[in-house]
Amino acid sequence: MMTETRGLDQCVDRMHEGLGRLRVGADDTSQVSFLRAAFRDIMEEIKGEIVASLERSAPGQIIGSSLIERHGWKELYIRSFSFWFMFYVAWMWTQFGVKLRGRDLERLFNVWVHGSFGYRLLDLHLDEASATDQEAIAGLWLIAEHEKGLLDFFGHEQQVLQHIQRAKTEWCAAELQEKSQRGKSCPIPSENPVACADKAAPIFVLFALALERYGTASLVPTYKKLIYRLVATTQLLDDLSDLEDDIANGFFTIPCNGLEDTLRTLPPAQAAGLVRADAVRMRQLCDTCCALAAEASSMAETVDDPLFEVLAESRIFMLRTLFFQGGDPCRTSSAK
Amino acid sequence: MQNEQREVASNEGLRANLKECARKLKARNRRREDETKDILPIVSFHSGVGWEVDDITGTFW
Repeated sequence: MMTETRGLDQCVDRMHEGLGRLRVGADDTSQVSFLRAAFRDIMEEIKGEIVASLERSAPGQIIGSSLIERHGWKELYIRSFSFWFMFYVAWMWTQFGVKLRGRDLERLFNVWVHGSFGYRLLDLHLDEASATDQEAIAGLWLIAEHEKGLLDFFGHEQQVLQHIQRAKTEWCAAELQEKSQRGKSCPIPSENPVACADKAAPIFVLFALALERYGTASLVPTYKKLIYRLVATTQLLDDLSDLEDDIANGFFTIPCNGLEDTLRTLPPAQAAGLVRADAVRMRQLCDTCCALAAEASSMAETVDDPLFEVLAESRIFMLRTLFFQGGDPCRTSSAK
Repeated sequence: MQNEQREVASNEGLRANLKECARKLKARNRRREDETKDILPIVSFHSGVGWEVDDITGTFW
């Protein structure tokens, strides 16, 4: 087991070294580049640890490498998972002074991997029919492992169980709503775009349980609003990116709101092009995302959480660059 | 949680640097908001592949 934990410990050490390079006095673009580099430079190692964790899991051992060889898992989804896990580890450090190491780090990592990939398998099975029946069952099994891991790590107290149950209920309700509207309309009302983050409840539960254990439990509702706003900005960009696939599978997302009748008569590529070419609609989408991130930033400042505040401001920085410049401001920076 | 380590004192430097980073980004974002308030966006996109400039939806900072 020592060899399994050593890799993760090294990843965390390198991330902390990277965060240590963040310097007062550097310009804003360089600072973001340092932060990005601290996470980016360990992505490959994290990917290896994810694969190893899944291979060690009981369902992974039974259905074999097909569980971890699905299309798309090795790129965007892995990057998203890796970011949030390392952000969580960094947040535990900056906010609570907790440095996770060794066996505890490995246990928590497994909890993240089992939950993320369990829910991902169900998603692939239900939305795209690209996961087999066996893989969907493996997904349910991984979720059960995830929930047991949460209880073992954070304790079997009643409030831990309540957080886990609440997250599961919220995820189920969001999925039911989405499926009931399939082929009809966007399940998320325009006036409440943050609702598109409800499916992220199983991620939020990890932050809630850390707050219960190391921080201030009364801040859980504020953090929920904060994190859901940030997740919603990511979800809205994903929706914009995934228009072709979503429309082909009968899902209308927020960028499509009000256009459903027209879009369902068009081939998916043409429908997606129509949405993206609507500059007024894109302006509204950008403004919505920026407003959500600004609210998250303000909440982070209120709870004295500079890591989340930087993440929220970075999102705004990136959103305006994406929508108005068509370029990534950090790509040309000298920071490695 | 047998191996838990708490080093509260030594994360203060990082927290201070993060706060300054947030302050600078906030100022930059205010300027960009003013610069873009009257214009419409252009979404650069490779259809069905992702953002032209980067796989930006997987980049968080």
